[in-house]
Amino acid sequence: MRYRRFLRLQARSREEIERDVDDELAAHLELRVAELIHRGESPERARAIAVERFGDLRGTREGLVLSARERSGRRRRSAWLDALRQDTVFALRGARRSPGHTLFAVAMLALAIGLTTGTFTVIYGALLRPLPFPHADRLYTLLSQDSTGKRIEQVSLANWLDWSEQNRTIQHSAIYQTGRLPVVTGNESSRVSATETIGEFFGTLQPNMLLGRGYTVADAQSEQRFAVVSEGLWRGLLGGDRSLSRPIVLSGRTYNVVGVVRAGYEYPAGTDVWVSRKYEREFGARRNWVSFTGIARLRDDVGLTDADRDLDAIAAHIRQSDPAGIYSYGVELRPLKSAIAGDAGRYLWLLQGAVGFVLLIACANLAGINLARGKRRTQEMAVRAALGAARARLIRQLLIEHVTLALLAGAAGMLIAWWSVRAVLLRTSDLLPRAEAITIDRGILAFAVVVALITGVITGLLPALQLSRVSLKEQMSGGQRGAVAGGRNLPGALLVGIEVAFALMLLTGGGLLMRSYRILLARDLGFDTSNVITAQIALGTVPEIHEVERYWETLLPSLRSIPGVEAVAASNWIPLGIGVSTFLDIEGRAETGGSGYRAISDDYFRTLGLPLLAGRVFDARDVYGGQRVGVISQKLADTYFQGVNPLGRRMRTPGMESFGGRSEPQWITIVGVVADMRQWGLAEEPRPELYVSYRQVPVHGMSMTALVRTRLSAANLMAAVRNRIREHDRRTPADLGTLAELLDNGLQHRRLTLAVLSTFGAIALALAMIGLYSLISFAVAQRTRELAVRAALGARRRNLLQMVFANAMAVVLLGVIAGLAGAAALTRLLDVMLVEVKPLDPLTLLVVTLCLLAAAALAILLPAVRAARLDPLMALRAE
Amino acid sequence: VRSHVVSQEAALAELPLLKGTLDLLVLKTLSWGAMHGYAIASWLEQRSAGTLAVEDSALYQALHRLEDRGLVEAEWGLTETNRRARYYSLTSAGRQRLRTETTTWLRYTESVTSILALTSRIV
Repeated sequence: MRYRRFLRLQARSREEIERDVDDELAAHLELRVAELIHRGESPERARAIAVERFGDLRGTREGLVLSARERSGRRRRSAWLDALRQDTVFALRGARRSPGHTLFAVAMLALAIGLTTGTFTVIYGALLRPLPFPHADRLYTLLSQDSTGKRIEQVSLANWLDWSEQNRTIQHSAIYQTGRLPVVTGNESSRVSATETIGEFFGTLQPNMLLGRGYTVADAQSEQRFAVVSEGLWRGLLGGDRSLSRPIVLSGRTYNVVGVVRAGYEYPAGTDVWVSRKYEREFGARRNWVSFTGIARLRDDVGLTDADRDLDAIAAHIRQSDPAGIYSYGVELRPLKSAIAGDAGRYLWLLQGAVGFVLLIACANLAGINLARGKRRTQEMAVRAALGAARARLIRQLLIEHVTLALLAGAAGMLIAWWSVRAVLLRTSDLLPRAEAITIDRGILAFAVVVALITGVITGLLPALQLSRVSLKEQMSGGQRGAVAGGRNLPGALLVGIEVAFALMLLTGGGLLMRSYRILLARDLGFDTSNVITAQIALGTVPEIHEVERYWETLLPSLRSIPGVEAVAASNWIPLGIGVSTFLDIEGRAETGGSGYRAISDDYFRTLGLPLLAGRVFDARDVYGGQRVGVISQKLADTYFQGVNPLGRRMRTPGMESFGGRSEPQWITIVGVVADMRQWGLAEEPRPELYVSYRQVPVHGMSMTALVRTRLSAANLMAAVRNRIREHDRRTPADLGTLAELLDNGLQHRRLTLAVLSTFGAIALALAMIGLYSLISFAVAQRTRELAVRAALGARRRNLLQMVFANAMAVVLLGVIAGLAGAAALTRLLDVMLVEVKPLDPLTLLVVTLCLLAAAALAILLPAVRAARLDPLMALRAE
Repeated sequence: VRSHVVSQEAALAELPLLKGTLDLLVLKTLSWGAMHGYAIASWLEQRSAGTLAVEDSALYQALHRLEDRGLVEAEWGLTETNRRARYYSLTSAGRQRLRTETTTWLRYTESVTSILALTSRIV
């Protein structure tokens, strides 16, 4: 009954409804007129009476039309919901009837949806979720541009001062530097992450304060120093003192603590304490001292383009008044959110794309299997159609079956998503920006539901369209029974081809990254990272110049005397850590050069195992106030002294040694040449390097990293090194690590990407093989009669096998070709992550294709062999 | 007892006298079987011997109102003279409503009648 009513109440147009009402009223009037005439009235009079008896004809008609329309809409909606419920119940019943298929489909989709959702959770938290600051969309970072338009992530104080004073579009802005500083409490000392700020840092960010307030520019420019601490540091080091009465002592300077930033609002991430820095106006060469990160909050009524134009005008003015400024050519505003995301965005989106492929493969797989299964349900569909179900209704019912499955899978997938997010965070939380924002919340759930719905539609649409086309006549007249069916399954073959193509693309991506990774691991750094302990130390109090030398010249021999230690050295910037470049003025050369700059102790090269190629290394002769000497790398010699003996030549570094314009940089005489090292990371090529003795520039000796090479495992001597440093001076705590760790950290992004991409590739391959297997099984089952007839007519087993195999391999080969084309288009996206490998590396493509073909052959062979073993008599009888 | 009184009041408030009366009469008429609008009108006229002057427009509004509430349902059919007409019939909800409304109506008129009869004696 309900079903009949549904069929009767298909959507009705406004005209239809109006016609119905008119018909009804007309019938009424006609009947009354007929009766009145019957009673002896004249037709005209009868008509007049009938109309009069009716009352307000026009008004009633309108009222009836209105109510009929509402009723029609309401019925349609409730009928729709009814049918939806019916179809869902039906779908669940069907799912229970074939538990094997249901389990497989749900498991496969759950895996794909779960991984997709998990990856999106990470992306959303790390890249997309709004920053936890008020009106965070108005927050930007400030970048410098040089004359070539190249952007530099840092800005100089001098430029920033001009921007911040002359603009009309920025509400607040600030610049900052971060570092690890020693903090002394009582008898103990430790190192904390400190951010030194200039400008309205707290006005710009407006972080949520647990206690107190942020300091202002007025505070910073007063005679006192101010600090704001993180909730973590406040609870730990400051003992959760709500009165904030105790000052904090960093690097020997005392700061008044005026506020506590609530946990989760720390910017830059990991900061324990923010301190104010008093600044003086700078200009001239200092414009090139780009060592700060700039942030700005735009005014509410200002758009990005306005701000860009405003700042560009200021930059143009700076260029006119101060032409020597290298990084004063432009200002760029980048949303703070994407600045925080940094490079992570690139590989995270790559992984999201890869997992999207996996999802598509899973969909294609299930769609193919559904197509094949659907063939068995043609009878059911034919009967339904015969009973009056419209095609649209059949399509809907089939779609709902698949959507129901997909939603079940989505629910199960949430577990996989949760697990995968947890696994990634456990291993790599320090790699990901804003790891604390990565959680599964309502938005993510909504994402999963949408993905599941789309998945359901994708997996169901093709089978639904095909299946709903059945005609009863065809079905009842025996259909394909008895006939020799060709066994063609074009949509199914297409789906498998797509799966093969996607799997090939994923495997190619994984293969390329794998090759790059292996090349990197095999690379020679130029120095030996094994068994080297690193100890980063900043001198606590602001020492006299000779104190810097005294500290290191006593600490280093003391560390050397620890049993098991082979060599000890120190440098302000060690390999694989932060590095700093400087401009080079080379005597007798017009244009400025550039190189890395490191202040080192005498034994540095020996400790790292770096060979001296010419001249000498630093020794006791090179003292403060004596002749300035330097050692250069082979690369620097090759770049700036081609065919000339560099020994004895002179250069100077305005960037590193002019000290805020307070002194002229001194000429440095080259006394030695050492081999190159890849100290900027495994993936980077060696750059020109200049080494100076820290004794001659003690300011660079105030914060250095000691390198301790041990004979046996570095781990064994960690504690001894830590103790020795502490005993040496209690006010100078150290951050300890190893060079091996540094090297490893540099590879983590790569390893994560590789691991995830390989996993996705393996899943994709497995799914494609399953799809292939079921397609061939199905095709063979469909062609049983044909094969049997062929066998009966004398076809050899081998021929049958060949025929089935060749047909299937054709599909695979088409998929491979499509996949190679896709790979050619997409692997370019990987380019930045590849090392010494072209995006279309022939070896990788060959190996991947062969692997895939081998796997495909295996998946085809099983059902093909079964087909060849067919007993013709049995098969024909079974029909 | 109390709850019964309340439900009576609610029923009365929901059906204003004239409209409610017409709805009830229509339901009653349809209890004899499916009819088109004109048949209902003539049936009511005959049964009340013309005392109930029901305007046709009001009748059709009532029919659509009852259809809205799911108390009657309509289907197109043919009259004896082969004219297409819309035939109304009671749904099971309509049948139920007819029963309760009839009881309520009878009780209501009974009390009103008894009171009216009482006052007339005093006057």
